[in-house]
Amino acid sequence: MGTVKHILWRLLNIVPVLFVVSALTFLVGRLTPGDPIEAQFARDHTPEQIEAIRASYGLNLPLWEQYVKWVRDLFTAGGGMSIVQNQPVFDILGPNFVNTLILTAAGVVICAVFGVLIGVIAGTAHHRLPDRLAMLLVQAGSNLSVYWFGLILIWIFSLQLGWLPVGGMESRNGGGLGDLLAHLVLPGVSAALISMLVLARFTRLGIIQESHSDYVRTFTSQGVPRRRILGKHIGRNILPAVVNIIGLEIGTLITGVIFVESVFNWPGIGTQLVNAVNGKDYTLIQGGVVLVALCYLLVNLVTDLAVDALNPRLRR
Amino acid sequence: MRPTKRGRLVAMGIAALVSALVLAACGGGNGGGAAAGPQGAPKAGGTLVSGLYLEPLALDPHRQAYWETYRVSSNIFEGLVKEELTDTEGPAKLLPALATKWSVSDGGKVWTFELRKGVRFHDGSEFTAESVDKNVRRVHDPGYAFYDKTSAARLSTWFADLVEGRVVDDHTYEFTFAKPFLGFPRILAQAMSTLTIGNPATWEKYGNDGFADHPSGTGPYTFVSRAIGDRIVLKKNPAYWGPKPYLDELVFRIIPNNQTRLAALLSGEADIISYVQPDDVATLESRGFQVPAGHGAALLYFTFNFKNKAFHDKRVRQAIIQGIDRAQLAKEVYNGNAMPLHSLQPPGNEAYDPQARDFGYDPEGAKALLKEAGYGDGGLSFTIVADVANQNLAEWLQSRLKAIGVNVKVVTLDRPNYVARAFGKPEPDDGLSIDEYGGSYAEWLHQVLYTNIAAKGLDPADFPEIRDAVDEARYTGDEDKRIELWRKADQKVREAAIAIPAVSLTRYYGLGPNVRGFVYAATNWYDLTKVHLAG
Repeated sequence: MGTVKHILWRLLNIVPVLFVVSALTFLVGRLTPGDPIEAQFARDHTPEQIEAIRASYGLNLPLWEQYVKWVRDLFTAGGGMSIVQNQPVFDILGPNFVNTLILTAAGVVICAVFGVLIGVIAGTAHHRLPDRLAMLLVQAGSNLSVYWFGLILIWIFSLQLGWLPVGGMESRNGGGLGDLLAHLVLPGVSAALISMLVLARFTRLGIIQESHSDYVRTFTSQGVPRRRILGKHIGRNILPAVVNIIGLEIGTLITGVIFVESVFNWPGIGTQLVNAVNGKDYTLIQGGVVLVALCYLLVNLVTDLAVDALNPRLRR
Repeated sequence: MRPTKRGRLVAMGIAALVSALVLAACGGGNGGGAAAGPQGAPKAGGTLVSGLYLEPLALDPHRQAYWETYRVSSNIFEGLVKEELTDTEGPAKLLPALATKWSVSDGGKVWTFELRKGVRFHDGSEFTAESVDKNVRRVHDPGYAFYDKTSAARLSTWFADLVEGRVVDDHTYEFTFAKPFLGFPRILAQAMSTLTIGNPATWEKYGNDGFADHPSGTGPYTFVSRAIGDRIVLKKNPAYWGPKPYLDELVFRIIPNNQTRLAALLSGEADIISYVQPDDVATLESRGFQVPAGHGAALLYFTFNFKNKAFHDKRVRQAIIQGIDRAQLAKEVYNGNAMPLHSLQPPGNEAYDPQARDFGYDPEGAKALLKEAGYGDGGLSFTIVADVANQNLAEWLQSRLKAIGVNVKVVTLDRPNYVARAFGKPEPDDGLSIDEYGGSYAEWLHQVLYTNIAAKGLDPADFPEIRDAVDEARYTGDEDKRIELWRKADQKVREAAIAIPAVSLTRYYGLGPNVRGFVYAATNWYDLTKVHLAG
């Protein structure tokens, strides 16, 4: 019962946070220089025409009125009309958001599996060759630019070897799950790279620290097999920390896939937000930020609940 | 843990090195594809994938903007008149489209169009004078239930003087303007702010905002689907009234990243890409890809901030023009991928005059003029405001103007901020800004003066000789003199040193080895109905 109450309380907390985020995004858009109508039309329309077009989008109304209308549109009119694209905001963001989630999910899987694997190899082989090699990889990889790394992957695996597609989600004559998975490999690896290496370091460090603790020494002296100590005790103890890091990194991944989407032409929300910011498309920016913020908050909530569940000391 | 600043620098260095190697490797290859073969008999069928460099805007005939949008929508919608896009040199000839004939009366004020019979919209409904009337009312008649304010504001560029549109009979339509408008047919063949014909049944069913989700016209291709950020799919219109296009399906994929778009062409994922970077031309050609080059009907030009008093003095404006060597600019900033221009009417425009000259490069003369105007060496200083994309150019101008004793500060901003400052609220010290635009219609001169340059503080009333010459050209009733009058108006603009025409940039499309029939026409879009695939 307590848990349900706790979850409800946390969900309720999301409302004021979203209100602050939406109000801030709205204000930052309006109070900084630049205007979507001017940006699109100033080059070949007279100031009177621009004023008339602005009025046709309701941009001449008082700010509070525009805000209220937008919040209403969020619930009733698909997030309002995009000022540049002339389509309802959620019609634009919806399918793209799903695509971003697919890419993020692939990134999380790659990050979790390989991050933990590298960390475990390095941590258990502390100070030996595998550890040194893994740490060299981590050190070099952490300094790579995702943008550059993506282009190099395309060059090697798509243009030179021809194994994987250069970008997008679907081949010319493709379709189906296999085709989608082939398109996910390179962007997934690029998106996961930095987070995966962060996770690898934490896992390694956790294993090394735990390996030096008293209970491990006791178990070792009692002849408990090393594999069992690692799996059952060390693993159990570092798991909440690992889940916590993965949760944090999902947030990083969602925002970080923007670059990856650009390089691999992944039709995701990042590309749309970059377009929106370039054109100062108020409604699209606002809708996008609220969507990403909501996602962030939900991931945080789920992570906290998972960590609580995994950590008996915090169990209610 | 995260990339440090130094880490990023190192990575960028490596990136530059590897990019160079990539280019060298590609350039050294003996060609992946077959060279463009001789033209065989066109074969119908197949899907063409076109990689666009930006997301097209609404597929709505009266709300559309951006040339990349029109490269898609011109396959769906048609106007009463079209431009022949088979000519690489301008100006494009005007051809009948949804109108078969047109005539002008009352000294250029009344235009009568005979409409093509037997044309059907994509939903099967018939195209008649009534359809044209509903298109006119959507953008001009506040009494119409589907009057669209935003379209009306956009189209007022050319339709503000429209007094009446009238259905004469089922297949005749008449426009009456308050003043003579001989440029009207060519304006009807343009992409934006003009009366391209959409299917009225669609906005009557889905509303004005819903039209772009269900675009319907009379064009050679019909709309199938659109996923924003990904692709737009069109298929051949079996009931098309005109010559049937060859390709069964057109897929427009949105690939904004220049490198990824190039890779899509190289790997065969795309057949045509727009906006090929000049540095990639050699790579493509060495691998058997076709890279048609052209100028379109556009130019890069610099405008003065007339709100800055220094530029009220013609000597100052002229001195700045004389301080810039446009041939050198084309060479140094664009590696020769640009054509120096001396008039605001670009190549491809019906009033383009290759002989037109303003003030030639003369740094000594420029210094003398500045001195005469009261600005000795270092006496004049101002800011160049530019879009970040034009930073190189702005810095080049800074160094050249330094040579005639002008101190220039460069401020580069992202697009919305650039427009807000250059067009909206310039700082008092702002001097020059940089823009690119143009069209094939002579009225472009009127448009640039009354929009871009007027936004920078120019009041045409302060230059009566220019205002009168432009009015005379725009409202002449004498077809034989029209182009000559526009050239005269342009001469007045040049003589008064109102703006600085700079260059027309060379643009490239990339085509797969098996693409045939593509022509880089002398305007800002292309015709895909003549394109076919070999082999």
